[in-house]
Amino acid sequence: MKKFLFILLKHETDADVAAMLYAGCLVWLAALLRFCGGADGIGFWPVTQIILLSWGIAWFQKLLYWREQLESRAARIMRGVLWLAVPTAAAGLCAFAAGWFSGCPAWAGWVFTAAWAGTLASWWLCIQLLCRNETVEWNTMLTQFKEGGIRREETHHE
Amino acid sequence: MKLTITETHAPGQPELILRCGEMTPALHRLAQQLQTLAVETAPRITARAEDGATLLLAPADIYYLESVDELTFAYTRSLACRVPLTLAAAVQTLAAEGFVRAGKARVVNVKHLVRLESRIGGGLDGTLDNGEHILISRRCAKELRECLKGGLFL
Repeated sequence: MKKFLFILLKHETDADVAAMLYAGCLVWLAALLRFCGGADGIGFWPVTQIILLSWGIAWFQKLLYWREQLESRAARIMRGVLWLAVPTAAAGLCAFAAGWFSGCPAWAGWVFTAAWAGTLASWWLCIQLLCRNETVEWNTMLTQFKEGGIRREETHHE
Repeated sequence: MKLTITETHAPGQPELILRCGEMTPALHRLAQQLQTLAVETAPRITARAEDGATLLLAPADIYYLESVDELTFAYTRSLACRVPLTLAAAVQTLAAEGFVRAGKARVVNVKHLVRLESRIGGGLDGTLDNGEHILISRRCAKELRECLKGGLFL
């Protein structure tokens, strides 16, 4: 039980870091679009809803990659699509259903959803680039390890 | 040729140092022969094949070891044999042969890895030279990194 709680706390901390990043991004985006749409700043309830949504998104993404497993290319793409599509749809639905852009033109909600999708897509791209760089690094190490069966050192005597 | 043997009484694998004025083809051949000899003289592992036959497996022939229902199996290119070792004991015995933990229930022979692919979450997808894929968990990836960086095995 103690071990389970410790693991849960560890993952919760991980999810909280991502949730804070998402909440900051979403609140700023919503406030900017409300300002551009001619409305006042963002209220207490929309901010609370955004924080809760961010926490939900962070946990969803964590659970999506919870289990380390070997998977086909198709399964990998499917997980990537879900990672991107579900948070985008959730944010868009919440924006319209909870009226985050009440008093603003209708485009504000759509622009908010599109901008959020773009932000997530760029993060996804960054993660992929990091993985690619790490792959190159791993394979360089592997090649050097295999070539290093005999280590050669040269010293020169004057 | 001068031959010096230094007995250190320290734990760890023996090291052969070839000090020469120039690396001639003859010396290169000698180094290669020593490398082959090191593989040939590595400790053999007693294994039981599916048909009940007892085999002596060379560590170099093992691709990976896996623990299933508290039994340990060694996988070679064409065989799956039961070995009387726990994974922890296997790592301890075979570390010098390039065996590292790939996960809770798996130990992989690094010498059979041909490609590593980094995955989201820190794990690795390792491709073996027989085309099989093996998952290396995030935790074990650190151990593998240490092995690849620091270990040069004959």
